[in-house]
Amino acid sequence: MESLGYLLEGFSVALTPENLLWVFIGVFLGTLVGVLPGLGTPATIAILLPITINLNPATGLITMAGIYYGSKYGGSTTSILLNVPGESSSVVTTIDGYQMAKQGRAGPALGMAAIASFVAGTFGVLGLTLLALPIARWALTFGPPEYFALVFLGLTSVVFLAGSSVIKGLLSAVLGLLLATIGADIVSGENRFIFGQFQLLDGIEFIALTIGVFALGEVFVNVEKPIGATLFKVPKRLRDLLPSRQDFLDSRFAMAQGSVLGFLIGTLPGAGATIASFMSYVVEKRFSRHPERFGKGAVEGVAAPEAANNSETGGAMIPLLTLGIPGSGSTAVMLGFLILYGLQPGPLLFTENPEIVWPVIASMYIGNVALLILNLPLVPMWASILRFPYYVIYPAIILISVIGVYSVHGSMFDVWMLLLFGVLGYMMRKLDIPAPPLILAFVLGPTAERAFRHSLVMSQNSLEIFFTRPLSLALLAIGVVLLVLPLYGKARQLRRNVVEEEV
Amino acid sequence: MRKVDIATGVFFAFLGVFGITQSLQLELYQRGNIPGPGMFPLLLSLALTVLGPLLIANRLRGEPGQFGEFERPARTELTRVVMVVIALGISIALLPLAGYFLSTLALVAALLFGVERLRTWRALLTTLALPSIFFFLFVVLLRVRLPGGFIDI
Repeated sequence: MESLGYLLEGFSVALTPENLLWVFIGVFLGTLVGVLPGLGTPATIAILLPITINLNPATGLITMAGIYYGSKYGGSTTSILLNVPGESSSVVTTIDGYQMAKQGRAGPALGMAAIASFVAGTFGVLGLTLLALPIARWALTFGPPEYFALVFLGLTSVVFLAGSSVIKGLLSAVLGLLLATIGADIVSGENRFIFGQFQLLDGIEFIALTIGVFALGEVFVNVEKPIGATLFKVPKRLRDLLPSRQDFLDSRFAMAQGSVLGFLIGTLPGAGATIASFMSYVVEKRFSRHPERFGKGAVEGVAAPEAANNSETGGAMIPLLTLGIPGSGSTAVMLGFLILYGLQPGPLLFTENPEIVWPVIASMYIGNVALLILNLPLVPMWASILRFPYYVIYPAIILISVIGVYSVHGSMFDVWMLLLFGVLGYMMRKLDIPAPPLILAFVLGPTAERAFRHSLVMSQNSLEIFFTRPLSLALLAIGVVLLVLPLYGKARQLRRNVVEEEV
Repeated sequence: MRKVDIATGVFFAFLGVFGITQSLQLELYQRGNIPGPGMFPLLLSLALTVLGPLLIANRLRGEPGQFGEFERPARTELTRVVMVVIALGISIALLPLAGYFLSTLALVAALLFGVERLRTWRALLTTLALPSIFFFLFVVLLRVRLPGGFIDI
């Protein structure tokens, strides 16, 4: 109840006309910039940072909350329309979102993404309000073995349902983990697999890998045949551009489980929105009555990861605000932003700076509402991008991919890597090797390696540590079951049904 | 698909062996007997050398429907893809020299007039508009620094 009292005070600060105006500006600009492929949430916040720098702390942070939510939604928009995920957490949205766009249902996909984001985002902030301190204490019990086991489970879950062959999924995941080891070693600093290319010291640029594999790979597949007219159908009637009643019915459980799962995973420092969105998708597909629809444009396949992605925001704020530990690239940027305003996130933040913290939490509620109010009417505008002929769209995708990758570090090397990974993405599609395990493994690789090595240090190089801690053992056991299940009888048939004809 | 899967398995097995030889050049254990930089890549490379042959073995005894279909592109289709890749490669090579605007203008022109073989005013308009729109969006509005090249724009 004490929290609710503080929250009401926070609302009284946040709900001034000036702050409301800024939150809408933040959401609009965040969406506008987030829509540009290659610019994920952290980059979007960084680009728009100068706008908020001269505002007072509360207004600045409120504007940032709007930018944050807007950019997250913007990233989903490109995932759905162009198969270009702005950041790793949007990767899973491409699976069904892009298929929906291909079937002329880009509008309902975008609408459902906005609604699921709103519902789950609000749930996440509510959870943040009520459960911040108890959950932060629980998250502290996670040690390196538990983190390694969590990453293992995340990867095996994706491998389990990612394509026609578990072995190909595993090959994709191991390749992603190996790519993540390129560069300076995270512990000793020793160079690994850079083959004389000093540009690889910081490792492979994530944006180059993900845009190459997903966006350019898709372009190369599509240009095989000349496409004179539009690639996708886009309905003209507004009614057909918004989610139908059936879409809502199909997505209600996806939104609910995505909200809960995303929030819980978000509270684990280092886990982040990527695991949340992937896990939520896997859970939704596993328990769906029609798993065969997934990968072919199931609206639940958009609702679940989008819900988890946004609910995770509330969860991720818990370790950020109470422990000062950012859980993702986005929250790392937010941490920098808080410090910029003279705030030091940690256990004392809530007692020493309540006049700043609670308006920020209140502004997250407002940011969610603003996102919905602003973006639902704009769905037809975003969807109309697809009315252009494909010979206009694909050069545009190539150009913004090149610009997006170059703009990260101003590196031509990264642009060449983009081309290389584009060819890799094309070949993976042709060989029926699923790309999502590669991307997830690449993102989680450093976390997995760090946790693995720390665990071995803790146990004097004994692997027993992973099996003697109950939570670690449970997570590993579930992961192993997911890998072994397809080898046996009914489970094998079940999985085959689930992934049948899916690419 | 069968031959392609077997070739894929062989490729990954060789990649694994290559990874093992590279990992063994790194320290597996560091001072104090703590895991070194070579350990994790070594384990991953070992996994590849196991999974590659496993894919081959499964493919030899598995049912065809279990592994998806290999869509072999026709020669003309492959030619189009190669043309796009080459055009993009040339454009990337030109980027630091000719700058963003000229290199992307050349790329879009190559794609629309060369690959798509369009001869319409719309194609010409698209060729001029796309680089300009993105220049305005990224360079002017968002102040992203892109290579200017010898004409420095």
